Amino acid sequence: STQLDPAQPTAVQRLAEPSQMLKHAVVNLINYQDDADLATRAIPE
Amino acid sequence: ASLSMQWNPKHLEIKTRSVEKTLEPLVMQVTTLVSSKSPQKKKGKSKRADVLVVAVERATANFVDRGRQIAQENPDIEQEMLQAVEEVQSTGKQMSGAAREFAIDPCSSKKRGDMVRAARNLLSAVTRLLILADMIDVHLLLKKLRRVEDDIEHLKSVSSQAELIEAMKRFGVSANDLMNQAAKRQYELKDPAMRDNLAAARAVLKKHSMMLLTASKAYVRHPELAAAKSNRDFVLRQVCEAVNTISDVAQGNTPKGGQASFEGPG
Repeated sequence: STQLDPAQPTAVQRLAEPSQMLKHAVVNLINYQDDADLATRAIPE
Repeated sequence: ASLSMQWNPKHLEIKTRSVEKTLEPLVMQVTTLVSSKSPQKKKGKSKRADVLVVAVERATANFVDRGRQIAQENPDIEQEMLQAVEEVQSTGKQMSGAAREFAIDPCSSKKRGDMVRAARNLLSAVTRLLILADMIDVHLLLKKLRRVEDDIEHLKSVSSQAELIEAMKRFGVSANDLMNQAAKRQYELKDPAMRDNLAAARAVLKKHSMMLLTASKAYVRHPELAAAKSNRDFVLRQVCEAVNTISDVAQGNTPKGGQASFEGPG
């Protein structure tokens, strides 16, 4: 079987988690627009 | 031996599972960010925009730190890596500026558009850095491979038992190192045929490394015997073929004949 040493991750594996976190943070911020849209629609003329 | 990195940012073929797994959502996001209607579940509604901006800044800083750390650990390609890190940092800075503007005025479609464009640039820079990190992994595997090749060359030239034992010790260490690195690559590869080739090569390398000592001992003791030489040469050939297959797979080349063939004794 393929033996892997978790103590020595590859360069890509080391960047995988921070890049996922960054992506989620960006997505959260982009989606904030929807709240603003809702607020705009809720405010009467 | 120094290995030159051929870094072409336009050539973004993804060959590994980790990169694909990480990049797939990123690439998708880069595409869908241009659309104002995201099909995904909306998140972050309960938070204020400035809190979300800080989260992006922190995540960017964390990613940049990790990238810089990896660059420093790999002096051979530190410059290319640092350049990609700089790009993440600069696009991150632009993202931060655009996001702060947006947070002040979240109803402005222009500000939102600016932020989306900045986010797209940032995620593209992240993508490039991840692909470069994958190249570092390949580079490391090839370095270990060159060491094994050097040790094989040295093994061919030994003429006494003492020299042989010393050379085998060196070869044992480097071959083991290569097998471990190749195992990581095998786990990472997307293409099942490439994975199989790598697994087969690792198995041949492991099996014949053990035989190499016995065959070499007999040859060094009886260099006059043609059978001893032929036996040692056969084992050496198998080891070399396995090393070549690992090299081909690491560099994304299909082994000659489409598939690696390993002729085993018995």
